[in-house]
Order: sequence, then structure tokens, then C-alpha cells
Amino acid sequence: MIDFIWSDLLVDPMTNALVVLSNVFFDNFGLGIIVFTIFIRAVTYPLTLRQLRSTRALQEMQPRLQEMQKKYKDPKRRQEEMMKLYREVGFNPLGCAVPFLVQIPVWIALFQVIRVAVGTSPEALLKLSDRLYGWSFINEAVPLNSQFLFLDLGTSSIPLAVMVGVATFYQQKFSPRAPSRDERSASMARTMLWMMPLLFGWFTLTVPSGLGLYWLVTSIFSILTTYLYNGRPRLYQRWFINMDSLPIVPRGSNSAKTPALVSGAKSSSGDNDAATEADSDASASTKSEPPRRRRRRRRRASAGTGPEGTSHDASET
Amino acid sequence: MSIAQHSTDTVSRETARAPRLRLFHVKQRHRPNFGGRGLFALLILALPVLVACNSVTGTTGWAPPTEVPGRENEVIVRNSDDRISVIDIESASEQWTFPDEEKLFPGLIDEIAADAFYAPPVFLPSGDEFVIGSEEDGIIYAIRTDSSSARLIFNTEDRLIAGLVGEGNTIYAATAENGVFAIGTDSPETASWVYDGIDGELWGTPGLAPSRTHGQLLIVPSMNGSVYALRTNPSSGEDRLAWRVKAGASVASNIVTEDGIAYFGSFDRNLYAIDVESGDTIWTASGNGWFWGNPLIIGDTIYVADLSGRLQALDRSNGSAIWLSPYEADDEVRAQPLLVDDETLLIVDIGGHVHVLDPATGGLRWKTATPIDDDVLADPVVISGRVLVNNDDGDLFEILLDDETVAPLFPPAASIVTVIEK
Repeated sequence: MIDFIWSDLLVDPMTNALVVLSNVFFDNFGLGIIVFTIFIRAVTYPLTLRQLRSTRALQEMQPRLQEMQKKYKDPKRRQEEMMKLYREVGFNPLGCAVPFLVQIPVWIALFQVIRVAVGTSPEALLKLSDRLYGWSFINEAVPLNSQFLFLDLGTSSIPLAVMVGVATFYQQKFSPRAPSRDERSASMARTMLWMMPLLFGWFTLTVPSGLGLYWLVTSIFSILTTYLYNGRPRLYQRWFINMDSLPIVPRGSNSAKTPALVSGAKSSSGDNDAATEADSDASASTKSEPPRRRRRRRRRASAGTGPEGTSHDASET
Repeated sequence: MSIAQHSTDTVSRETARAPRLRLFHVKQRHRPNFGGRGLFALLILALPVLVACNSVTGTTGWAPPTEVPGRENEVIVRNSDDRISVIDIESASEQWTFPDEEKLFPGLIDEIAADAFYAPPVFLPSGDEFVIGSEEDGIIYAIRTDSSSARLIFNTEDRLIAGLVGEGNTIYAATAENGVFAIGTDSPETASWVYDGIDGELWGTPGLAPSRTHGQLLIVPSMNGSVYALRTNPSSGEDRLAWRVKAGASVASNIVTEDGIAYFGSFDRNLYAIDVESGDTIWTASGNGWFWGNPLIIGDTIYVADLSGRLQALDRSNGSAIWLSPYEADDEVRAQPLLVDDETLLIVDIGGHVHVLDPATGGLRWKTATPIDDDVLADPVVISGRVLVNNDDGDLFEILLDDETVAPLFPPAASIVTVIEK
């Protein structure tokens, strides 16, 4: 049963789809991998979106969670209060994990598909033959053309490994995550930021470039997804101002549920008490803004922009 | 940036970081981080396992055991160390290997690394020397059968997957990408001619066929789906290429020539019979999977199996089916069928099951229920009256037709597979 689901419903259709795409896109396996990866990531985008939303919700709750940590010393009571808070804001703790877990089999299948399809040896082709349908246009397409730009997709490539490492680093840097609330997790987060690119770069050196290309496209797609979801200022904020510790609030979100942040951090919203607290700090924080954004802020302030614009602006700082 | 502004920026950043610094002093026990980072890390850690578990192995046992002429009971196989191993099948002992594991092989100037070979060796007319091509390096060596010396014949600087073809003292080598080389074994390191007009990898072993109009032809299958007929000795003004025929998909099977007809299978699931003189297609016969194994021609019958596991007996004159229905093996079949004593037809599927059939009807006589350990890609052969087959790992097995068993031959410790299903 598991074998049927895995092979007949997942890996085999994906393998054939990849071969067809490579054939359609000018008999170019590299283009096939790129289009196929984007397609798969697009199909699983709703799950990614749920994951991003859950992560963001968790980020929004951080100040209150932190307060609870201080307020309730009894772990049981603290746990109860936290669950209460989750219910109150409609946050599902599994909201981050489940979409991720659902996507894992798809990613592994994609990994397998590319690994089998990219092979340029008789053994690899023999394995591939087992997965292909009997349609003539599929059988005519193999073996796939393994040349793509400067890459031989059947062998490893050092430049590609570097590119994968860099892309993974940026993906890590931009990916939304809950703020680190203790030294250990902060240290782990810092280690992961460097370890993951190194690890992926090393993997790329040990596997055919086709897989490296898949990882590169996946990383770029993740960065773009985060960009589309968070907007450029947030990426700018995360990378250039290094404000990872600050909670990120969605653009235009109603922050009525978002409580005042702990002292020193700035609110993401302009329509509640927290905004006042944030505004009091604005004179200092705006100095760190690029001039263009600072001018935009002034314009909005003078024009009396609504909560959405202010909210966006506040989060930029 | 002014000093004042720099100072303000610093203050601003410190203020921004303040919550995290403050939290350092808070003892945290519960960390509800469901951001998936841990799971992501888990996935990363699982990657090496994935890579290892789903590895597409390197060159495997594609070459069948080959009898050493003039040396009774000696066969050449590729062992699991990617070395050529000469085995005495009577004593089940290894005589020597190439390259030697411990010392420089006599006759060679430099130490060479073990490299795999896809195709069986080709013996030179003298009979006391055979030629092999290493896969990764693309180097062709001539080795004396008594292991007294070896010499480098030619470096193709390309991968060698297709088997070498010998004609007198000339060796034809079709490399994966660089084309076809004609190499004189008497004038090493020099190619008599090179044909690089084929846009596609060459995996199948070419076949030689005499032609009234073209002289000797070397018929070369290509993974680009075409088969090329090259004149080995074109007259002045003649092109090297005599004709080209296009199949529906890649051609990885070897070219088998007989009585002016070239036979080959393609990934388009068709077996082709081509007129050597004109390159015209005489007939095609369809299968149920890719044709990768070589057809076996016995009299007026062609036995051929495909990767779906279907074995057919076809009429050589028109490609029509002889059996009422084809035989369907349990697994894919890459190896060529083998006819023993004109009355026993056997095939070995990739899963390692031996199927013994009636060649007249295709009816199953018996088959092994427990497969040979590891995959079987190489053709079974008859050497010194014994039916031998080697598996993916280079282990040698003997198929005992009378006992309806399969027994390990070398190494002797290999597992025995003798459960019979009738």
C-alpha cells in the first residue's frame, strides 16, 4: 500500500512529468528541472502559506508569551495560559509543523525523481526505465540532455555548490521564524544560519548538479515567497538592520489582538496603545532608516495615513 | 556619516536588541517554537541517508563471463573491486587480476587505478592477448592471457560504455561522446581514423557486416535514436558514412548482424531488422518495454526479451511471432536469452530468477523461486560445457540444468539459490 502510494501516485507521475517538461522545454533537462521545481513549489504554496501565517502568528504572540514566562513560574499554569492564548488568537501550534510535514514527502519524492532522471549512466537509465510510462513521446525523450549552461547535470559542480550555499544562506536569513528568547536558541539559530549553507553546499558537491539546481531553485523560490508575503521592507529589515529579535507583524494586520510589546521593542501598529509607545521611540529609530523611507514616513504622517500605512511603516523600523 | 548620526544609529540598534539581551537572563524552560526549523534540520540530516539509500550505483556487472581461449577452465569476469579477474572455474580460484592489487602490472610504466568495464574483452587474432577498454578513463589495454604483460593501446579520453569490436589487428571503439575510433593494435596510441559526425552518446556495441556495395561496414547504434553505417575502408572520394537509419528512440542494444541484416532493439519498444546494403528497414516487431538486451539468432528464429520481461520468438524473415503467446518473466530482462543444446532456452531476469523454457513453444519448464543474490544484467554463457552467469557484484554462478538449480561458483562462499518452482 505504502509502496503503491509512494511509487505509483507520487514518484512515477513526477518522473514522467519531469521528462515531459524537459522534452517540451527545448529538450533541456535544466529548464525542465527549473520549471518542474517551480510547479511543485507552486502547487504546495497553499501549505507554505499556512506555514508562513502560523509562524507569523507565533511571532506576534511572542511579547505575550514572554510576559507569561515571567509571570507564571509554575510550568503547568504557564502551559495552560499559553494554550488559552493560542485559543484566544486562533493559533494552532501544529499550524507550522503540519504543512511542513505534508510537504516533506513531496520534496523527498522530487529529490528522488531528479536523482534518478539526471543519471547519465546505463545504470541510472535502467532505473529510470522502471518508472516511465509506455507513451512514445516519453520514451523518445530519454536519455535527457544533461548539458545546461555551464553545467553537466550528471556531475557535481563547484560553482553551483557555491551558488547553492549563498542562496541557502539568504533563504535562512529571510525565512520567518520566532524570535530567539534564550541564549541557547539564539546561538543555535546563528549556527544554523551558517551550517545550513555549508551543509547544502557540501551536498551539492557530492551529488549530480541536477539536484544542486533543484536546491538552488527551491531556495530562490523560498526567498521570493517570503518576499511576496512579507514585502521588500521586511527583507531589508531582516538583512540590513538585523532586527531578528523584533516580532514581524503582517502588512495591514489588525493589531487589536497584538498586545503592547515589551519595553525597547517597537510596535507594528499605529492604532492602539502600543503605537504610542512605538511613536515615542520613533525619533531615534527613524534615524536608522534610509532617507527615502524616512521621507515617506513623514509624508504619511502629515497626510494622516490610516492604520495600514502606519502599520507597515512602523514595522520597517 | 557624522559622529552624531553614527551614535544615534548605535543607540537605535542597541535599543532594538534590548529585548533579546534582557531575555538572556530569563530562565526559559518552555520554548514553543513550531516554526519548523527543527524539522527542517531533521530533513537536512536525512539527506545523506537519502543519498545513500537511493544511490544509483556505478558500473555494474554488464559484461558476461568470457572464456579465455587456449586456457582451459579460465574465464574473465569483472569483480566487485572494478578489476578484471581471471577465475579458474574448475578449482573456483582467482588466478590473477588486472590491475594488480599489490604491484605494478608487468609491462605498464605507471600504476593505474582500478576502473570498470561494461563490455567483455575482445581477443586478438593471436589468441594470447585480449583487449579491454576502461570505462571512466577510456583507455584501451592489451593484456596477455598468461598475465605476463599488458600494454596501453590507445587513450580515447572519453567514457567507454560500448564494447570493442575486433577485426584482425584493428580495434573499433565507440566512445560515449567523442565518436568512433579505428585503432591498429600494432601501432599503439595512434588512431587509423576517427569519425566524430555522430551527435549522440554511443552505448551499444557496434557490429561489423560485409557489404557488396560499401565494403566492410561498421554499424554503430546511438543514443540519439539513429544507427549509422560507417565504411571501414572507403574508396577515394567516398564518405565514411554509408547510410543512417532512424529509430523511434535511443538505441542502447548491441548490433547483431547475420546474413546481410542488422538487428537491434530500441527504447521505442521495437526490434528492427535493417538491410545492411541499403539501410532500409525490412521489418519491425514491437515489444512491451525497452529493448536493451541483444537478440539471439538461431536458424530462422530470433529470441529477444525486453525490459518489461517479455520474451518473444520471432520469424527472422518477417518478424512475426512464432509462439502462440510471448513468455512473461517476473521481472525486467536485460540479458540475452541462451539456447543450450538446441532444446533448452533460458533467460535470467534482472531480479536474478532463472527461467527455463521450451524453445519451440515458449512454455515454462522450471524457474528458480529464490533469485540469485543481487541484480543480473549480464548474458548467461556456456563455457566448457557449463552454463555460467555473473551478477551485479561480479559473483559467478553456475546454472545446473540437470539438477534444476543455481549454484555459486566464485567466490565459493556466495549464497546458494536452489529453491525450485515447477
